[in-house]
Amino acid sequence: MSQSTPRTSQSTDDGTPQPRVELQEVTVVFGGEAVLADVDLVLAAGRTVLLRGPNGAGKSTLLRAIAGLLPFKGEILLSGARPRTLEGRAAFAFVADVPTLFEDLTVREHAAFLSRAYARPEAEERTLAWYERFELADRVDEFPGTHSRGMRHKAALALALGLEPDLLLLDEPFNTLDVDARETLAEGLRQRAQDGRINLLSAHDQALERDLGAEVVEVRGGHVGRRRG
Amino acid sequence: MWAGDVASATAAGAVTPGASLAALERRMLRRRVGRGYRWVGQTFGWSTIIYLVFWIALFVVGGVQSAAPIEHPLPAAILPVALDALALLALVSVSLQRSPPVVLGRSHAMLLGLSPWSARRVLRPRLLGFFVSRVVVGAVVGTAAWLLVTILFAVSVPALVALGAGLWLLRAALAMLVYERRPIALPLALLASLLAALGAAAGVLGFGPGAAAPVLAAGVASALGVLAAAAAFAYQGAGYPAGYLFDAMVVAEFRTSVLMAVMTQSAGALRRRGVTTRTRRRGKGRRSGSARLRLKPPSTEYGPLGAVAWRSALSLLRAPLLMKVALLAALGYVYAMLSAGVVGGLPLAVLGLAAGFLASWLLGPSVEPAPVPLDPFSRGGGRVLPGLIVAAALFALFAVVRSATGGPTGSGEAGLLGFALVALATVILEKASSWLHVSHREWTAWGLSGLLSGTLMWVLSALGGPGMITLGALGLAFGSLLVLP
Repeated sequence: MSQSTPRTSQSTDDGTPQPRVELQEVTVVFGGEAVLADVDLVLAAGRTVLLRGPNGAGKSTLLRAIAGLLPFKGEILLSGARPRTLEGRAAFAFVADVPTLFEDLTVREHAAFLSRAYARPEAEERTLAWYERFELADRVDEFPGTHSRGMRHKAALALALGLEPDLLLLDEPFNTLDVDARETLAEGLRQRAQDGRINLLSAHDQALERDLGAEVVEVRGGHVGRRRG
Repeated sequence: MWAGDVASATAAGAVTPGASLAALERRMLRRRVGRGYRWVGQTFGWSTIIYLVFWIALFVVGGVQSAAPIEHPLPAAILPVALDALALLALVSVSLQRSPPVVLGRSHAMLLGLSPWSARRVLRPRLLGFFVSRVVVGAVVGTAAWLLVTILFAVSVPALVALGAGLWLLRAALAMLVYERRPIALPLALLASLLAALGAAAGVLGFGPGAAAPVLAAGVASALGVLAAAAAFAYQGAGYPAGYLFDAMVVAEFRTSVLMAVMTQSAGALRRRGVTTRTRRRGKGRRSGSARLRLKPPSTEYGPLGAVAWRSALSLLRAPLLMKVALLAALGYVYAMLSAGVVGGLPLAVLGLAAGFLASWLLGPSVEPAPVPLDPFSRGGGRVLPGLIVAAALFALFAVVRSATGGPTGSGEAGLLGFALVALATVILEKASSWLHVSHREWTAWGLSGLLSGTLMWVLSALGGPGMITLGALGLAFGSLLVLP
């Protein structure tokens, strides 16, 4: 998909710049082969975008490139900042399909550490509230290494939601969740979109498009295809 | 034979798992000795072996008797450096080992799989043989070193025989720790920390570097050994290295069989007081995985720097007790060497390597690969700060103790110098591990930072005295934190 991408950030009525994600001719090469080729994409404030496509299509690669975890050619701007800069990193939170947690910190300490590292003190309370909603409240003083994959995923999602970043990048977030947690996450994502934030996630579930009121972007063979929703 | 052994055990009125196992072990040992005896006899012939042993012994005794110092012996100052370097090499090589230290036979798997005995009990003869053989090898190496030192340095240090044996024993214990957490290795590691403390004490009491060489060499060997042991403990949490995958599976099988045995016992099939007591004690404990040591998070005013420093302090607080003892011993060793007068030259570079190893434990954990928005100063400062506060406090303590025990003047100077060395190594390690994207516990990272910090101190020593070195090193460390990304 190719479209013109204006670079100026738009602002809300109170003067706060609205979040915006812009990708221009983004190419990621692994071993001489382009896994993503010339991707142009613009995500506006208040949108939830679902990346959909077969395994190996490049969905996770796209998310990782936006998070600055992979080298790429082209331009990625997160609310006007490049992903590897301090401003860029502060603009998003990323939860991988296998979430990265600090094994030396308990789940509660994750909330304390990340809220301070992101200089968002109020995020600690919000994260603890998300732990409760994900039914993790009685396990927050344990190390994540003792938790199941689903519980680790819930903890990582609670941390990301608690930080309330402009952009939330989620790689297949619904895969390991139980039914209640899926509903909790969907509710959280809907609320974020209403608040004018951006959600970008990869998923295979057809029903999510309707549940989240999401736009769908098809990814096939490293190319971003049609957009609907 | 099996039936006969059991019958004899029964006759002795001791039909217990332990007695049956001992009978089985005796049978296996007899069979192995018999097989070995026959193989040697058929392959070489026993008369040939006796003939060769006689002549080798004669040559060795003749060689020892004719050993005389060379005309111009080497300076004694090189001796501690050489001994330290050799001890370091012997211990560091453990981390490069890719094969299990003890090869288990099919019989062990059978014994463990089919019996309720603990793995430790079944493997005891094999482990005993392993450790005894290493002590013998170490003693031989120590004897050779004694002779070599006598010839090259014109000083006789018989303690090198015991040092060699101890070092090889420690090396074996560390290899076992890396391979599998064995209870037998723990007391050995604790013994090593005691030796390290002795090494430090030798320095504190004012021995010169030449006179205290064997003790100090034992000190560095032991301190680094215990640190490596602590590293092995931490490493186990992350899983086995790829080279040990097959053995890990075998050990996992062993553990399963042992677990089954414990379950059988706790279910009442074999009531034993020990098991029930242990089970009850575990039941009273908290849920596994809970944090036992906590530290209140800092005020949000301190921002990202405070957050990273808090996490680093937590990491130090939760470090295994063994590691804390090792840190104390290693810092003591660095202080002892510096207060014994090792300020410039090659010894300082070797000391830098020890400081690099020390830094790998003082430095806080990295946030990678999580894309957290941390500026380089918050990241670096937060990671090094708690460790350096601990190091500064310990060096000050050593200086006070040394002054109180009537040590020579300059106790504080040695402490400052030690702190500067450790600070420089820690900052360089932080930068190196961040840039190279490797764990700061990787020997490549701490080795590099240790060598670099030691070399920098060496260069600084050429420019001036201890005051100049301290100022220069602290300036370099702080400047790097402020300026480098």
